[in-house]
Amino acid sequence: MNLLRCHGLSKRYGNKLALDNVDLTLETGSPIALVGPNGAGKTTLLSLMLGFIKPSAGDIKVLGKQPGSAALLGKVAALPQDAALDPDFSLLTQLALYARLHGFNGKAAENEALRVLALVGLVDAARSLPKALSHGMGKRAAIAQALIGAPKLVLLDEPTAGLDPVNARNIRDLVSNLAADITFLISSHNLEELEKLCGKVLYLDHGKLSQAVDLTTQDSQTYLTLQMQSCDMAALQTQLQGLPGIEAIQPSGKHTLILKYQPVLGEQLDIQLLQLLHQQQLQYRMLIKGRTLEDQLFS
Amino acid sequence: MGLTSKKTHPGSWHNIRQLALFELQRLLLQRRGLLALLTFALLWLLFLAYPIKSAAELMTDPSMRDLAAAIDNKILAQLFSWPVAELAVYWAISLYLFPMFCIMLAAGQFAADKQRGTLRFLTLHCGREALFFGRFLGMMLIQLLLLILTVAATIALAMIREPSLSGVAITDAFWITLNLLIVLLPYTALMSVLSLVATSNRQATIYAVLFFTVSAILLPLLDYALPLLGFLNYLVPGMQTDGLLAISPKAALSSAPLPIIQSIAYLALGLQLIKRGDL
Repeated sequence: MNLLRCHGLSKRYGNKLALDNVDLTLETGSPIALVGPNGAGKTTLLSLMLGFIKPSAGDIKVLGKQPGSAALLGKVAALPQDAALDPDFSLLTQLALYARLHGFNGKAAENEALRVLALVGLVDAARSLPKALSHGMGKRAAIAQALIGAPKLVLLDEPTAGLDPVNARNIRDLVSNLAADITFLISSHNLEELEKLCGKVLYLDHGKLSQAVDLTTQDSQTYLTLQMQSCDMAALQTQLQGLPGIEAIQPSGKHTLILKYQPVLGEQLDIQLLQLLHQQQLQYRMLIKGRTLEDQLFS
Repeated sequence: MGLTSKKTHPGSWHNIRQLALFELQRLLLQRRGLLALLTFALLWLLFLAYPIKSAAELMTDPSMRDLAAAIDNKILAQLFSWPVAELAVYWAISLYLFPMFCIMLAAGQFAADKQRGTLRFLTLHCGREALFFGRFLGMMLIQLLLLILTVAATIALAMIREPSLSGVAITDAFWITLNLLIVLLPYTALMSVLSLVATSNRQATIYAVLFFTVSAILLPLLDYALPLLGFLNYLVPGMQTDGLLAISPKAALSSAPLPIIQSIAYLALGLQLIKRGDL
């Protein structure tokens, strides 16, 4: 199913071009990541998808419909950036209202509110006012409202920013568990997190879509990433050059090497590499088949 | 997913009702709303205890009635002809006071929520039209409640003085409430518009003060210099208010088309603003 289709999509704020002629087609399925530096246009793209703002040029369709149209109500949900709940009402009261707006009646609306609060571990805070919540709890409450009903697409803008590690992990687990029923589009700076969650990564820079990486067909056949404990990296690099099938070795950071190899010649390369490390009595921290998302995007 | 999640999203009318009732809940069940209600009640208690009670006593004094009859003034003659003097004073006061309350109350329809991003959350769960009309309807429900409470208190005051007036008091009270509600429609609709363009509730109130002040200064000048632009007077809510004092509340219904048309115009403008504007 067609999730998103943008053609010549641009958004201008005064003199600043936040999105510049973006052409993009996405299908529903595994979670999709949206990355890019600050001011790259990520939040603008999400806001356009939600119909919060209108494009300056081009057109955009979400699930085949105009963003913000009545046909998308109940199908598209989001954790918007810089949006706060009503300070006058408890989480339960507000989420129950949202559930009623989705067609849940009376007690069913309250139960739905409690269900989504339970998903983000906030049942105990159900009767708290938003101002009584920490930043992280507020963010989890905002994620909870996005899960009311049965959305097909959920856009999450920085879902784990500001969360403690345990709750960040809980949110990642929640996204993984729900990914079979919901397509998530996640904007984040946490590449490690996106690598764990997402099947596709879109890279926006200066308002342009500069890269699209498919993590399901990643370059695991041609790369190995080796992260070492402290050792003589130059000497190790020389020794690794002697392994069969190695084409190139690229340092990435202080103790990490990216090995490019020929798949046919280097079929046993990982085993040979581990044997080499064992012989040399060198300690490694991590061996990855393929490259990290960070290396794929920036190397 | 949802335990009893719906296949289709409910219609706009369902959501307008939900949002309107939520606004009523804000007044009746939240500390801030209850505080506003208490302030309003105390203020009206003062009005009832002093201006309304005293004026009603004066109006029922035969010598004062003779004096009023001697003065050739349509408004005075009409007010003195009311069977329930308390309601006559209430009518005269409410026609001017309620619009002021309305401006302060309805200024908060959208401005703060838009600035805070709360409208973004709401529009993820309901359409912008439902949000706009839901908030407007909620504001009208709140004002209807306040009208009913104050009219009932005025009737109670009249009953203490003269219990036999109950029948006519209730009939007049109905027409007063209905007419005041109609008078408040365009004020509320105008505040819906101003609340959408303002960045805070206070700014929306300032815009309203500017709107009425500038209208009061400019429109007579324009009317004098360019009579063709005289129709602009009809854009100002409450332009019929002075005339309402000179007629009975039942007859005042004949002035209803103007505020209703003004409301439709302001609501149409507000709807376009919320549909086309960024959130």
